[in-house]
Amino acid sequence: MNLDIQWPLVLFSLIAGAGGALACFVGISELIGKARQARFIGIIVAIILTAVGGAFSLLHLQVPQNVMAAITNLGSFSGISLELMMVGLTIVIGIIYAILIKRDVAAVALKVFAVLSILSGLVLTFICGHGYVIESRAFWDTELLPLAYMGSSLPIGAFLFLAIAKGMKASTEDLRGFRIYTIAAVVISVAFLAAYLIFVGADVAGRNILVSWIGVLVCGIVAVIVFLIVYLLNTNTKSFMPIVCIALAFAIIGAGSVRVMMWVASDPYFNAWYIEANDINILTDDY
Amino acid sequence: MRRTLVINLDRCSGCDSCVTVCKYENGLQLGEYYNRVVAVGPYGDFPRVSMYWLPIQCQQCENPQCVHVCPTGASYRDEKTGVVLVNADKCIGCSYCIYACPYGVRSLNKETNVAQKCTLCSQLTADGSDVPVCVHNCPTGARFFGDLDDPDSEASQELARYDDDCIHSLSDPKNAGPTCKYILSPKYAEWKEIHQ
Repeated sequence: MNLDIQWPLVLFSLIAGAGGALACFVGISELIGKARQARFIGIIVAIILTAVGGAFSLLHLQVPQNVMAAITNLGSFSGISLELMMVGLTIVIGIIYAILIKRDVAAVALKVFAVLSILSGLVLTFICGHGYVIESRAFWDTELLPLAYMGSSLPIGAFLFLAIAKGMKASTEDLRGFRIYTIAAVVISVAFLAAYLIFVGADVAGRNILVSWIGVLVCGIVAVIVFLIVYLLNTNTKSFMPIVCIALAFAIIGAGSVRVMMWVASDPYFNAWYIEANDINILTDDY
Repeated sequence: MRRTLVINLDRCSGCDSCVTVCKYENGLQLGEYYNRVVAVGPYGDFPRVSMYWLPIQCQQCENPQCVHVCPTGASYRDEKTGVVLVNADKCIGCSYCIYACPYGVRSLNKETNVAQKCTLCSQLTADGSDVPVCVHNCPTGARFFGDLDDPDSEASQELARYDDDCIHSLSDPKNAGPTCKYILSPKYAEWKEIHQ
């Protein structure tokens, strides 16, 4: 028996993951010295996304106020504790980084926080999925799962930052500077989405065609690759924003779909309640 | 100490008395259970056809996965008795222990919104003066309660009456270490490793 899809957790990891990935690209912008005008608004959006994502995770608790009990037990280093730590750390680093950007402090300090922003953002995207690596769930018990969470978040961060940079009127030359990082984000995403899809297998993934084949494969992999190529080949500056926004939309669908697919593939090792309630012959019935 | 259940499947008739009295004793609502009795089989070819009943509840694991994932320490293994318990005051209802249990024997209490499971009737057994109601009320005397580390306990004594080939545990692919033991003699039925 599969678990019900936990939408608050899907939205938490999707939105907070997007925030982490965006924080990465703001940091990259700092390190490569491109699209300076997009950094402040970029890190503010990253902070908001991370905070909103974190808020969605509270809705998963039976009583949202119970989060205080989780906060007071951060030392347990459980999946939830690590998620809370990384959400908090990413937000704190983001706030300090935003203040430093606004005050236009020394380049060294900015670069230090750019690196911290990249690291905390990356770890956040990974940690959002790591809590589900649970031995009793056959299709969760793999590090490919948090890697798919991390990978699928990266194109969201890349295309979202490009959209913000374009909106902030970054120069064409500056925008070109992000090409290699955008390619890397998509390659990592496609590799880990495909790896997790293969790990789950066609039979299990095929239980929900809309999510697995349309969402992950068509939107998250094929369409993102197609629009990455379109983005790379495009020379018309007026087409830049629509192309990036479409690529962003497909990346979001792909990332959301792999999170939903995880719940579709939440087969337990054994489930006595379900077997008994459904009069299943556990030796012969396919259940 | 490893307080647990030993269940003699040679005697179990699948009557569900253990399920019923458990619900009464623990005040479980409609649709909520601490234990279930699963039919294994029938299997084999006529005329050698077999089946047996398999009562399943918390296996009181020595390496409980549910405890490892709990973010607040609400799920814990009692150091004194070895029984895996839930501190309802600490539970935040995140459900991770339900995801992590290899045997699917945890659920959320619909009224209190906290995780719940078999406690071996700790309200009755904590001081060692009584046995769980499923043991007390089993009409075929198939259930035994006690400390596996105490050779004089009823559970250990029942196990001692059987050869090793009659004593089984649920499949344990990830080293959770279930302490609950099942007795099934080959002369009645062949033990089947079961998992999804």
